[in-house]
Amino acid sequence: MFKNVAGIAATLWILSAQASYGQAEPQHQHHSYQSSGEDNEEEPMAEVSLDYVELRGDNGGEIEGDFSYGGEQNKFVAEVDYERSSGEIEKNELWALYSRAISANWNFLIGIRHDFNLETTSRNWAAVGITGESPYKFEMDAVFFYGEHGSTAFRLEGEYEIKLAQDWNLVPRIELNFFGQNDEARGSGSGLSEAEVGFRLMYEVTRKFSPYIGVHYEREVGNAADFAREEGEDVDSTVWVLGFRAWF
Amino acid sequence: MTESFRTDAVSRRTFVTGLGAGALLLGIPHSSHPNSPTASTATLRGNHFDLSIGYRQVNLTGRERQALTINGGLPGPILRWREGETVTLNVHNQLPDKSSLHWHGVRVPSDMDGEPGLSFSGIRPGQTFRYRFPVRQSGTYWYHSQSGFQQQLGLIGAIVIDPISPEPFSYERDYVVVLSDWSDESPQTIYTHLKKDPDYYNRQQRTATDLWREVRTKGVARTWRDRHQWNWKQLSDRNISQVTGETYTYLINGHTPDTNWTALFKPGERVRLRLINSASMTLFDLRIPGLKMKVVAADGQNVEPVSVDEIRIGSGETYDVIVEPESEQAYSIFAQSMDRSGYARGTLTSDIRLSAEVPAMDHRPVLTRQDLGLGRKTEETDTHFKTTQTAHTEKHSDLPEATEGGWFYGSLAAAGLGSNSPIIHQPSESNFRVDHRALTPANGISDPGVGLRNHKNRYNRRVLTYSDLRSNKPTQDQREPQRELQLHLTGNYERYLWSINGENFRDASPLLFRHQERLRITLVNDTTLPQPMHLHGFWSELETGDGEYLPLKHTVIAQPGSSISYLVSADTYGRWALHSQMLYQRPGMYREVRIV
Ligand SMILES: [Cu+2]
Repeated sequence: MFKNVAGIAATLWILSAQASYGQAEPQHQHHSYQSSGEDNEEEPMAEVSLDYVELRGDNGGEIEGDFSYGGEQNKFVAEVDYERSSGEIEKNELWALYSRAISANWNFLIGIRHDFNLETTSRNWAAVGITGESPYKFEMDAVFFYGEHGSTAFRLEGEYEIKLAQDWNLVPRIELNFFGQNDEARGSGSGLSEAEVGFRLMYEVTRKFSPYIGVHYEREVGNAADFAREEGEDVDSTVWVLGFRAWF
Repeated sequence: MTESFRTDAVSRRTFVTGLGAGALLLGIPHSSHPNSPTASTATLRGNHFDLSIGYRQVNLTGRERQALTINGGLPGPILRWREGETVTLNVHNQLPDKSSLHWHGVRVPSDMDGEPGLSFSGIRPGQTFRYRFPVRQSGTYWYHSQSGFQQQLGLIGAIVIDPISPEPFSYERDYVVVLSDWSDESPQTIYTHLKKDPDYYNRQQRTATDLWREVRTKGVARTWRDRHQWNWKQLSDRNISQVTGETYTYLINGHTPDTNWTALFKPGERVRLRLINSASMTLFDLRIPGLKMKVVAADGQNVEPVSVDEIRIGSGETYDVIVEPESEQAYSIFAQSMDRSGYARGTLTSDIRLSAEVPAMDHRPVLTRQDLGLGRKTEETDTHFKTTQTAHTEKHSDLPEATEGGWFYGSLAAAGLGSNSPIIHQPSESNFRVDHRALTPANGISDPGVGLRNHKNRYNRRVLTYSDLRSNKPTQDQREPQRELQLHLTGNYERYLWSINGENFRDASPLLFRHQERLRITLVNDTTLPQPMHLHGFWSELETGDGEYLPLKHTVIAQPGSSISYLVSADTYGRWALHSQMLYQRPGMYREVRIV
């Protein structure tokens, strides 16, 4: 993770330079002679999407992104979710999923999630869920997890894009984590355990690269909050964020 | 009659004024530039043609790019044929990939149609394919590659066929006006962008400022009501064009607006302009401020002349117009893209030194309820269709009956009136490929289209509509349709998937027509985008109301959320294509038509 603001700024600058360089230098045109229309066969497509790469406050950050590969209906998705706050790793997940388009706006997901060792040990979860866009264009992910020793969890993520101008977006985001049981070691409690809310103001340098600033609020709820208090930790925190979103 | 496409003086002038390498590459006859193709805008005549598909560097925007060319030209040479002769075209492919040429709108035997995968296997690298067929029609047509996305890179050209019998109109000058869209990005890049972010090229999206303005003028309740349907469906009323002036430079005969293609006239002369939309993804609204255009032919076939100020030309369509400039002055040939993100521009002038003011682009269109397929009102307001529509609704008992695959039998409406069949969405339309279905699609025959519906009031311009078109010859096949095929044009905008009846070309079985049958095709456009649909091999006889004089077309715009009907005489055996002319939608929105 990045050590300081200067580091992140330099990284952003390099990435944005690359992004605009990429823009000015389209691919070699030889690719386009391909007679792909002849049998109208759809070629599989690969996409890397870095949704959130950010610094949070002085001592935190997040990397959330995925790689997908596949055709019109079926895709393979590899996802990374890494979060850190107050010097502690909160999430360090790697997902491998099969995604299938099931309706105009929704995909069904099934696969596994591996949590790299947090305070205790590594864990594996089976994951089942849906991802897509609800009416009024709310982007949502709802995933249910079943862990190795019978533990269960549920995560609901939502995002909305408010277009302020053609190249300015305000993106509110929410994440709720639920658990089926208490897990003191991990600091999660049964029921709603943790809630995150954020607002990010993004500027599209190109369609593929948007640096942003914003605020992020998170809070432990219920039993999780009690565990945190016992440990003498804060149950909530509000931090500024600085980062970028990119895809290619 | 003088016929000229390239005026040498123009090229020299643009060269002298240094308007860029575009001019250099696009038509200087005797340039010293080693790469400059002398044949770029040449007219080839006769009945034997040698065409070579190759590539070369061009510079249309200030950046060097590789274009695909025919005999070195971008666009390719004008092919001038004579009706009644048999033409032979040896097409040599110099590309490292397969290629093809398709004679758009020309009635040919199936194996000469140039449709890879259906009627032939394409032209392999280094191979020469010999096309040979009798020319049985006259008028303005065009040709293009039907392999991959090669059309986007410049494999297009005009076809002019001189008639055996004299035409019912006369003129002193004859110019071909080929409209196209050029991008510095490769077609594969454009397609990938659309797949990953369908709004990639849309710089006209709804914004918060926009919302605020609307709330202030209309109030919260009405704004909510107006937008609810769109928001609920996750659609946008600002998705006018998918690929826009963000990446496209719009060309006339290969000239950018800066290099300004120019045609000459003498005052009092009648000038015939053969307007051809060879663009990959662009519908153009063309006008010549200060001049009325007399439309004399549509898709190559003569119609009763009709005078208009403005014409929407869907990609694939052609119109022949005659203009009569009376004074010594210059006029702009102004073709703005449907979404107003850019324009192609040329000049019609009596003096090579003059050019006319380039008009400002019109207001940017916003889609309406009608484009969502909520357009058919209970009481039909369209006078054109009043009588027929009420006649149908009165006799509910004998509505045509639907069978599998969207075929209708029973008491079909008389030839010319258009469909009276109920709109039936196929079960295959309910899947992840389809984001929307038109519930009550209006008949689109008299709809000028998105962004043009109010031009009489707004700008006092008369816009051509399909219902203005009336053939100047009686309908040849006077039989009533024996059955009707209702096809739904479907898509999923966010996933960028396109289909017919919710089925991708790969998964769909061919449409079977019986040889010599007379049938009606009704297109129901379930998408919110206009779809110029091209039927190979046959005429699409547009049902404009008068069955006696049906205009013959090869490409028909199905308006968003609307339906449109035409008659077909299935008189030629073979395997043919019916597809959207929008290049990046074509792979999915495509069907094989087989005559058995
Ligand atoms: Cu075609």
